[in-house]
Amino acid sequence: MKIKILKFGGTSVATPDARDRAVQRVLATQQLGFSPVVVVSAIGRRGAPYATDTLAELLSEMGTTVRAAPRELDLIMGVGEILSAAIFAHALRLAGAEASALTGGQAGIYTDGNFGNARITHIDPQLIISEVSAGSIPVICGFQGIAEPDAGAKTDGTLTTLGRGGSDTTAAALGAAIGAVTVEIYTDVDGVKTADPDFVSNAPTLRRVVYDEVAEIAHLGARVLHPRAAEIAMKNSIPLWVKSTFSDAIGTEVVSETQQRRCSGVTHTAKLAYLQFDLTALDQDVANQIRQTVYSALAANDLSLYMLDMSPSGIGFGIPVSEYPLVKELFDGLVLSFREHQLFLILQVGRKSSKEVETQAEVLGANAKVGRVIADIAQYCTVVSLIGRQLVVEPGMCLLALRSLYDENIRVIQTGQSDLSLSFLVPDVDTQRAVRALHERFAVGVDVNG
Amino acid sequence: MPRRRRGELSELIHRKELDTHRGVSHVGARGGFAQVHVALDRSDISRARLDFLQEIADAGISLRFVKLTPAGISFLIDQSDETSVRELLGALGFEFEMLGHRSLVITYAPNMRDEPGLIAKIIRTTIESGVEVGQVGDMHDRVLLMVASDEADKLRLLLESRLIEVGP
Repeated sequence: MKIKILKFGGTSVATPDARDRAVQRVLATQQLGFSPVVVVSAIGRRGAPYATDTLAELLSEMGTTVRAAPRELDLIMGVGEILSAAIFAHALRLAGAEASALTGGQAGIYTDGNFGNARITHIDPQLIISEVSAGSIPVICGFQGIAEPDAGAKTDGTLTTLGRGGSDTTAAALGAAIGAVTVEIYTDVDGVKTADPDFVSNAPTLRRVVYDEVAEIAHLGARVLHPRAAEIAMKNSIPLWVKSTFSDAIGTEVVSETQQRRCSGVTHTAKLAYLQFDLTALDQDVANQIRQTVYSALAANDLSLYMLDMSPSGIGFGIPVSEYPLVKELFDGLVLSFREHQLFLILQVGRKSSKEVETQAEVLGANAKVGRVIADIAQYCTVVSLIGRQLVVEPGMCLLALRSLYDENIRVIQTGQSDLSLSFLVPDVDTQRAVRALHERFAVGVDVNG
Repeated sequence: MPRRRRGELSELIHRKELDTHRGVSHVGARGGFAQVHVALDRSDISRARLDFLQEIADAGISLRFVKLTPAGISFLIDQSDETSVRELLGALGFEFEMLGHRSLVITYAPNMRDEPGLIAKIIRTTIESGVEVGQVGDMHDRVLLMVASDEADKLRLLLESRLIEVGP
């Protein structure tokens, strides 16, 4: 039994025509002698009537005085995939195939009890194997599972969702669990592009890419494949493909090794606000206390951080732009007392002082020495990244990238580096120009066939 | 194909790693670095940073962990380049601070931004420990903390004990 997992994203199941194309791909797989196992996402993208976000909003639209319980939120979000699976199974039957829709729980996908962002703990694919053995095509709801019996009384056996990109994760985990010969992720683009085609219209499709690079590409913004799926496939050596439902292009094969390219892509991600506190004029113990206060507040408020800097001259960090009002409220006007220095310091977010800061300065200034620590803000910025193993080891690449951006008159707010990428934080309005400049300067895509 | 019994299949599947770990998975340390903080002309700091990096590139020196700081720029070099970089920066007249015998303490947590607050918690724990941090960096699966090499093991053990949750 050679099982192939075929996962169809929202746009691939959104219309009768798209579904028909997807159904034909499943049938063609079967005709080639494989046993297809289908995983589906919810129908359509954000804004579509049964898309995950739309379903989640049904609860918040009822009123915001009480936050939706995570358990109910997961139940309602899981509806999108259930509808999609039932419709897709019916479409397969209309096309003459045997098929049955399975929820994540029926498919034996067990998770921990973290609603909204559950992790798969194990898979018992008995029912899937039975269906396949009987010649039927299982159509499985992506993005969902059920909580392990020992995940706690309140979660035991209830539906959980896997978080962003959960259907890709379902497909890869199922592929690993049942020993699939390959996992194919079908979407509305030809494969993994070297850049967002909305920004670089002639961005080519990578013919092959290695697991960790595609995971990096996905982590840093490409939406074509979720990084968790790439990581699961890598750990379990599952051959992975990204293909289009709508074209016969060969797609991108994700492999364990390929020829070394200098650069495999340019990505952009995360709408961030960036704060950089200037601590240059302060004693080291004062600066340390400010660092501790700031990071304690960030941790206590469960904020995700990006592009960190913590040098003797300052601290910098990015936060999701949606969290900026909270961060401003936390820090703007916050007073720190340094008795040994007989000093009060007021934190100020932004060059222009707020009424809050002015009031604090006036009240405290009457009887004590008062200073200000100012954070420069870049309120709307984006991380633009160059992906490639060679980039990081080749001397001068950071300089080349910075010069490319400088030549385009693009301000770089911060830089970051991983084993596979160089990242640059730039103003949001310059994102497209930055992506294009780096794509061109690094000749990304000249060796996509490697 | 002979059909597997349920128990056999479940056992087989339990052995596979089907999803990424939650929280901090491990903490490691890597030594052999020197850290350099350079103060540059702040009137056109972008230009000053480029000019500085060009001088370094022309000298064939590899930089890692480049960060743009309010005062200028900071980066890491291999310990073996410490003397040559010190001489070069001195000869070029740059105002700089170089700290030798540095190590990177690396805290790994896959998909860490899916766990809001985790990165800040790692840094807060580090600052509270009293270990002086020269620079930090972040990736999707790790936080890197630059510290003096003789403090690296202490910090590594502390982060392990405070942040790695032992399963049931």
